[in-house]
Amino acid sequence: MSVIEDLVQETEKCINCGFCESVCPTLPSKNYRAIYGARGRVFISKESLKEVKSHGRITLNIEDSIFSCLECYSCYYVCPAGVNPGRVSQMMRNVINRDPSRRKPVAEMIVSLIMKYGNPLGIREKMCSWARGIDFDDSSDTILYTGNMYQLMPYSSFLSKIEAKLNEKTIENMARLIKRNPGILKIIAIPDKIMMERMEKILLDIAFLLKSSGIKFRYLGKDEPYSGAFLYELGYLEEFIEYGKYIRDLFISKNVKNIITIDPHTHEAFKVLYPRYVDNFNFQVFYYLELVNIPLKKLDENLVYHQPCHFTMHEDFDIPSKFIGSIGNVILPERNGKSNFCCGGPAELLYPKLANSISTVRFKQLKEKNGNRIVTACPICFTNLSKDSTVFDIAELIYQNYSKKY
Amino acid sequence: MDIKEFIEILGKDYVLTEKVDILPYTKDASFFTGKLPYAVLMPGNVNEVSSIMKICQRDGIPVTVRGGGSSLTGSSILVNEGVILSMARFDKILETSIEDRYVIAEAGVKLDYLNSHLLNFKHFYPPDPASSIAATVGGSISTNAGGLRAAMYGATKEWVLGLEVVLPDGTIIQTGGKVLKRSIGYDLTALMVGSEGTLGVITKAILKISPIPEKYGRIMVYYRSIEEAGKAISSLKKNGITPLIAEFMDKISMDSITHTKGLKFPEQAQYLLLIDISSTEESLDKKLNEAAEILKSTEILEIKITKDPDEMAAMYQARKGLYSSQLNEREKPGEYVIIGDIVVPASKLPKTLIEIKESIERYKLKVALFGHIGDGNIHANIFADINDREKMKIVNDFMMELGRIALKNDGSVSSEHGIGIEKIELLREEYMYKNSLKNIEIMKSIKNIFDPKNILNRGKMF
Repeated sequence: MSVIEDLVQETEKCINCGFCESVCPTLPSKNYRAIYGARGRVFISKESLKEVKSHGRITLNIEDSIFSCLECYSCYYVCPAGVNPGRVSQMMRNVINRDPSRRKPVAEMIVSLIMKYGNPLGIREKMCSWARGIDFDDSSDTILYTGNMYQLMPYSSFLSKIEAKLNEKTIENMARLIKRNPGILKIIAIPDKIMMERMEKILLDIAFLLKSSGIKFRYLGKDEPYSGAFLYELGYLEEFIEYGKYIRDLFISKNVKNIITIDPHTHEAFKVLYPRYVDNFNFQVFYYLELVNIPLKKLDENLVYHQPCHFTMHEDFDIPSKFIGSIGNVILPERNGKSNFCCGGPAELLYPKLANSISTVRFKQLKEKNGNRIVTACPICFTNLSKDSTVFDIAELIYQNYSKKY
Repeated sequence: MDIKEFIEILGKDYVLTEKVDILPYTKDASFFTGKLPYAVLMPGNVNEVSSIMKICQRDGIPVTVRGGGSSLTGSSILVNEGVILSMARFDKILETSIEDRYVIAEAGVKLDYLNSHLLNFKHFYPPDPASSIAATVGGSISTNAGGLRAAMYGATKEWVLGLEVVLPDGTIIQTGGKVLKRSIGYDLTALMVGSEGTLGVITKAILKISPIPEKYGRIMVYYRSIEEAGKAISSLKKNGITPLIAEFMDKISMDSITHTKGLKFPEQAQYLLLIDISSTEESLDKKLNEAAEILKSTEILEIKITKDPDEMAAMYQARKGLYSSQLNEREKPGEYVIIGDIVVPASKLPKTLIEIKESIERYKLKVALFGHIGDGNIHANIFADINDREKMKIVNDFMMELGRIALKNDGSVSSEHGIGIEKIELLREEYMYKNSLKNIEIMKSIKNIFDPKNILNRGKMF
């Protein structure tokens, strides 16, 4: 089935009841303008598809509505008609991208850098410094695959702060310039140093936890490419497939059989998406906590857990809760599980103000639970929700409470 | 119309005029499509609403107010030209008083959100339309919404103590207040309930709240005969038992739940009654057994009592999501499930249900029957392609007959969804049947006093 056929079938099921709208995180953050809610997105998608059918192109200005969707899928789980508005947005991006004049310049820049350098910011060589001095098992057919995610956050966070201060036109012009001259980004992308130290420490913690669990693995170092998840999320399906083939071939050439992922976006890309779209993407894919098996100290602490949407709503996967529960009392915010509330992170590079507005709402919801700490299990959530010193990545929490560490 | 005036009041972010922005406001949850508005106005406080209304009144600009956009009768879309007044930004709960048992909420607050707030105080606001996740305080007052709990608690009109309303000329009025009783002439609060945005713009409501029942248990009773199922509620009521919830569903509905939720029902069961009885912990078993004994006096196929929270929650969710389960029974994605909504006294349920069943057979339609039978509310959900004119003609004829069956049995053509665009003819039918067409004249006169230029929700109700 083509993307258009799939979209028509999905949007035709919609009965316009508005249930999805009531749980959509972007709607209140965009002043309740209907096109920034899940129902509005499905509706204008339906109208745009009619335009495509009747005169071959979309005339409505739907880009910002469609690209601002976080694809958290909270809408999907309340829809009485079984529509997934998040998926509709993701597929509509693909339709929009077919017209080069309608593509988002920032998205174009990111896609171009991924395809050219295997990294969304074109800085792949800077992604492996955390691993200096670690003794990996180079004979292992299992790799620890960071997907560059934790390492990218100090850069993307810095860039989104700059973006938030600029107007849309300036950002678009900058993105076009960088696309033509990627070297510029290497000069202007300065990571937040404190954040970089913390992210590198989290990666060290993860490696330590795996080693302590008796897992043998190696790391591809500067050869490790970004996962490509962004290509899919931005609607660049053809590029995503092409990139997936590149990753597949790279892994085969390096005799990789098992992949240990460390974040939900990469896990979904490798476990669910590539096997669906790329032939022979046959690797055993793990999330690192599936392999961690160590004794943990129990604390008398209330740990407020912000679940990653890509685990709870995309994959129905919730191993982090088990670990948090082994250490303290797991406290979930009102919006959790299948009604989770996104951290806003997926909008960070394209719509930094929106991302900040949503993460502020979510942070407040988490703080209202009055826990001792807030725990996240995704580098994007961690970065967006780190608004005070009580926010921790799950790897930090587990590392701190590994009872045989010393 | 000078859009600049609205921008001066609201700021440009809250005046939507671009086509892509205003298109979604041509639809609500009904199968109607409205006219494209000149603009969508999104006020954030009562003074802004007042200023907008003054301009609209001066220039004769029609205004349709939109809450959650979950109307099933087309109440929140434009029939002709005009502007949409979105109440989405009125999203705050302003005051909660447990000792005086009220909550004050802005019109755009969603009902589920209101109840999640009240849960912190072990209280709740009883009206619970199936759309409570999307329906707003203002919208549900405007349609006098009901829901599952209406069997015990009644519809919205029982729970509104007072309102803040902006009249078409911009005047801001307060009706009712924080007390349960008052006797000060015409009850304007009651007049606003069910007025579907034709008299004024509700901006704030003082709502009565109730403690959450201590305990409840459930009886599930299955029937072969629709008549016997219909007798159950009047038997309970005759014996002094008022259920917390009393829901009814037919085989199409049960099958749809089996297909989507995996819940199983006895093979021979044609109808199911789901009855919740609330009580104190000590007397719950006694009350459940009493009710079960009464139900056994009808010709039941099977009966089951449960107090298991998980089992009750699974079935409650299945009932609340019944509409969604039915949507999955559609033969093609574009097909709609058009919701019929009538009400009769409990004693007339057996006869009414038989007549509806005969009518369905005569019209050869696929119809799922279910409803809040505790208060006599029956929904007849019709599966139809709204683009199929011939089929829609049959659907319309069936809807008219459904209304007439309700009237013949001392009921009403609209129980909890309002009139909107869909039931204008049926409203007339009801008053004609009662030889009271004068009522429509009185309503029109009232409308004229409030809204002499007929700018509010033009083309609805009459």
